[in-house]
Amino acid sequence: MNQYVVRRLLQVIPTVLLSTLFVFIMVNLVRGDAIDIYFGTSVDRSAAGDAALRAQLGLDQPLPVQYLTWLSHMVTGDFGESWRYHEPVLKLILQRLSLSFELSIIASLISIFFSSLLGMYLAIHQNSFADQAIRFVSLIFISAPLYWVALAIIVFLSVTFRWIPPIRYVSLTQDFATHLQIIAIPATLWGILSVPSFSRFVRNSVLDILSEDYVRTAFAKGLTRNRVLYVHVLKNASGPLMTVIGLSLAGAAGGTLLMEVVFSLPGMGRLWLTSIYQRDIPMILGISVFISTIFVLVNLLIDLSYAWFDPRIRYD
Amino acid sequence: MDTHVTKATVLGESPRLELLQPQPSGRMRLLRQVLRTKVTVIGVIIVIFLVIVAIVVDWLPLEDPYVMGAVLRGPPGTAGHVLGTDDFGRDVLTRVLHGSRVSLVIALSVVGMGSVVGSLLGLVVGYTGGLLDSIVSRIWDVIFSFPGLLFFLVIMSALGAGIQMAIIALTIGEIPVFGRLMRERVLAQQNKPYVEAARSMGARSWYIMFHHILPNSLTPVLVQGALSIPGIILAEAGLSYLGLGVPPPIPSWGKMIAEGQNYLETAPWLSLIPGVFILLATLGFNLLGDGLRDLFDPTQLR
Repeated sequence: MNQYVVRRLLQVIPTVLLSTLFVFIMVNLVRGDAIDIYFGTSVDRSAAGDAALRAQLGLDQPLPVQYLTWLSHMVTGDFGESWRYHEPVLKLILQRLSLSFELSIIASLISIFFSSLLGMYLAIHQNSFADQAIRFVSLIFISAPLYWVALAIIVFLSVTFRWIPPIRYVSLTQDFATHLQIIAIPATLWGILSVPSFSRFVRNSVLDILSEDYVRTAFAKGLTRNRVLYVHVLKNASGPLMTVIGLSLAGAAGGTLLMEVVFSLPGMGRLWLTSIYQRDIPMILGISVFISTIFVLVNLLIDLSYAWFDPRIRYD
Repeated sequence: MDTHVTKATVLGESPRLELLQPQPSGRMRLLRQVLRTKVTVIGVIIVIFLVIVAIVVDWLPLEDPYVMGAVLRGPPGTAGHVLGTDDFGRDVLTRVLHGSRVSLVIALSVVGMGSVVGSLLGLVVGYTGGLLDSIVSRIWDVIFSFPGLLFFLVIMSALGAGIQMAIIALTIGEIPVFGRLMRERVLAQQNKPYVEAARSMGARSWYIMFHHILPNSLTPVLVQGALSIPGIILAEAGLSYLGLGVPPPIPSWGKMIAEGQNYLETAPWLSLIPGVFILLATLGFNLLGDGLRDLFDPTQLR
């Protein structure tokens, strides 16, 4: 177990390095001349100014040197300076991080709670009407773009309850109650929208448990249905639980981005999109690496908790 | 961990539990099979409808999708516009139907390139094994560990917005899907008698790969191709919705949703109608893919 943890922790380093290399190569393959991008449509340029700027930004160095400089600065927490905002990239990211973080945590908690409850119910009542209904709903939800479903729900809310999404954003420190009101609807919406499909995952993995030998033995011993379900099965349900936690966290990260666009909230996803539109290269590099690293770490935590919760899994 | 939400895992059949529930009777099972076929037929009809529309849309008696009109954001039914007009007075029905062409062309080209490149790569690394195999598999693991849209965003942020860039990004995401499929297939076929027979007769590796294993693995690749299309349609719509895929003024479903979003209270149909078409297209291909899988591969992923 300890060996597995150490090995899994060590795997993080090459994975993160690989993703930084990947992002750096991709950006430099297609970007064209960086100085042109830096100036954008500005006409106020001279050859000498270009050369000076090139030297100042370190763009006169060969690419491998640029990569290593960028990497070594990043290790010390210096992600460079945005070409559009002229502020440190990391500072801008951290400013927007809390909103995205709150949204994804609330959305994941809601989706984890309801998906696992519903999934267990569906597994126990297999092939019931509810099971068939959720099966149908999940097919629709997998086929529909969820940001569109969210927009349809906004239309519905505005027609029936005269509720419209607030136009002005208030941050957590400015006014806690208003802030909560603003993020509650998008977060809840995303949490609920992911329930039909995720509950199907839980249902299927609970059914896997139900077909195990020890469940059969418990029934054969003559235990009541409830005793088997709540004592034997529930104790071993960590697998389905971890599955839904992983799915929800991953889904919420992508979902947050879409909800930020649907409800025009100033989160990290919007910052990312803007920097892509504006070709803000240090910003693009910084956010991509930041998000990849978060994902590698989330996956690490999920893998480790799998090993922790299920001692049957042997990693040698 | 593989966190991709695939339809097969959500809708997949699970082991029956004799102890908790009575087994469905023979008649019930038959009924379910018939329903399944019917559902597949619905999928086929939707797909055929969309494909025909995509091919003949230029010859249909419709307005030009780029010509602007005097009536801005007219509700469905105004002045001969069955589905209304958009922010520039363009006919929504025309644009939505042209959108199906854009969407299908992108989806088919992504599946085409992704399946060819992915299968070949999977075939080679699966057969040769060794260091190359572990490096490539590790890269695929990293790609799979990102939830769908975020992975495409990382690539799009490097490549920049645009139709070709979106196609490249979606293809890169699709390669590991086919690569893994083919790799597992190769590993399973490698010790089959027909491969051993060929090897014992002195056939070279590339001959065994391309003349024996590849032809024997085409069916699962085809089925996976059908199963991949709905996800690609959704991802393309998502990228276009975020302003990274199909640029204006080309009609694209995702972009239309985004353009209509500013008028959600006064002209909700602008955003809602294109979404219905996305839903229809993905649903159609999902049902068709399920049917194909049942037909060709009854043992897989049920």
